[in-house]
Amino acid sequence: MALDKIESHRMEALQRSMPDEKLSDHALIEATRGGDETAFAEIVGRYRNQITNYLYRFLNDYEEAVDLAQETFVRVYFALDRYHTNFAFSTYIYRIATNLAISEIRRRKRRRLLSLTGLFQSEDDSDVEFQPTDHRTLPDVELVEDERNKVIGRAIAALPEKYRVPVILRDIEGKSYDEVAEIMELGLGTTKSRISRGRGLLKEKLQHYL
Amino acid sequence: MGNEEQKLYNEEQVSRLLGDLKRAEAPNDFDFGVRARIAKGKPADKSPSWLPVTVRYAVPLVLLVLVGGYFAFNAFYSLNVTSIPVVVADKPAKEPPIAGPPSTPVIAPPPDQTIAGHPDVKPETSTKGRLPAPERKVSPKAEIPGGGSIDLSQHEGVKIEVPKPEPRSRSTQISAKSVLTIIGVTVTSNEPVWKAVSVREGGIGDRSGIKAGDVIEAINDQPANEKTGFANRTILRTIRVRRDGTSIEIPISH
Repeated sequence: MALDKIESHRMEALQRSMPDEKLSDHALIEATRGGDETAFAEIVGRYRNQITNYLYRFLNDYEEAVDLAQETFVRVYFALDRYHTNFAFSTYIYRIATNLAISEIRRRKRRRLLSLTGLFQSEDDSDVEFQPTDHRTLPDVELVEDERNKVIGRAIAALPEKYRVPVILRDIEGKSYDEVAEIMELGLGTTKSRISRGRGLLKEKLQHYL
Repeated sequence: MGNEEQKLYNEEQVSRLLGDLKRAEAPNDFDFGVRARIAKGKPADKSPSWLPVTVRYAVPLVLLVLVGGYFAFNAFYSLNVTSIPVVVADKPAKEPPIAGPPSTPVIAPPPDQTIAGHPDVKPETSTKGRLPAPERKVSPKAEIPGGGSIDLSQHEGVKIEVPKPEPRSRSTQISAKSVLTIIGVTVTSNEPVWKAVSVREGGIGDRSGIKAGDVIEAINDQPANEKTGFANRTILRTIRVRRDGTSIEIPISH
């Protein structure tokens, strides 16, 4: 009986300490503003994989993607006071991530210009592929799949920024056209047009896989 | 299938291809990394620091100023140098000779003589109005013991100042006619054959045995003509003349 009570109290305490799964992003932000660190941890938990994957597809560099994803959450945390609930939190966080990624791309270009070794470095060598450790023996099918992913990843990363962002958001992150337009702060027509154009460019490069 | 339908179909294919891609996931220590960064304080500012700005603007500016200053200085310096006339001037006889054997001859061109080939050359006894020439140190090697030769530039009692036409030019040349003038031999001008019109009495040419009427054929085995030039520190050893149809090699003595 005593053990049951202890277990019951422990569960209640755990539930109190953990944010409600149904809490909206806005509610979690409000809770974070009120000093609830676990609320912010919940936000991180909700978006970390999405943002990491988005940035990875944008940069085609896993380490850099993780670094920028963490940086995205840090910026969100320190800008909570400036965040308005006029639009969805997901739009807000993707916009921050996009801006960071674009800055990173431009920084890379500058570095490539300044670096003497960059003159002799091919485009393919400049990016680090995401290759999670896997000790299993890869069957041929998985090898082919892995190679296909790399080729597609490079094709996406080679797209101009203005096409890359909406295509990733729409086709990889599964955002609606409206959400993509909001994140990019563009009109709906322009967004659709860019997505279409981006897909067209990818089709030319990935003809072999279609 | 129409073009529009084909386009939509292609887009759909690309969309499916991208949607099937393996998703990257955040590492296990992702949250820890975020907390650690938050604990550090403000987000890392990856914007270019003051150093790249300096590199981009200040360093090129400094380089530009340095290069520009260098060329400006050179231009100004060469302008000043080239404006100085070529001067052959006698030094006061009292001036002690530069270390060397007592037999070193003295080259003393006539003070009122203008060096041929240098129309702007004027005798000058004063150094006023021109840049001070650096003192030349005479190495013992430049002197030939025993006489019979002349160091054109370092000779006792004669100071030959030939400003360099260009600051970096090391090959200052003295024309053959100027050499003859220095040793007191005046030759016909504007003629292919140089004939000694007059030989200054007591001059080096006179003492060596050159006479009026001699045809100067060579100086130091170099043909005597307008094209021949001698370096500033050339030692005058011989002059070959044609006298009465015979070539004579005259060693220069004092």
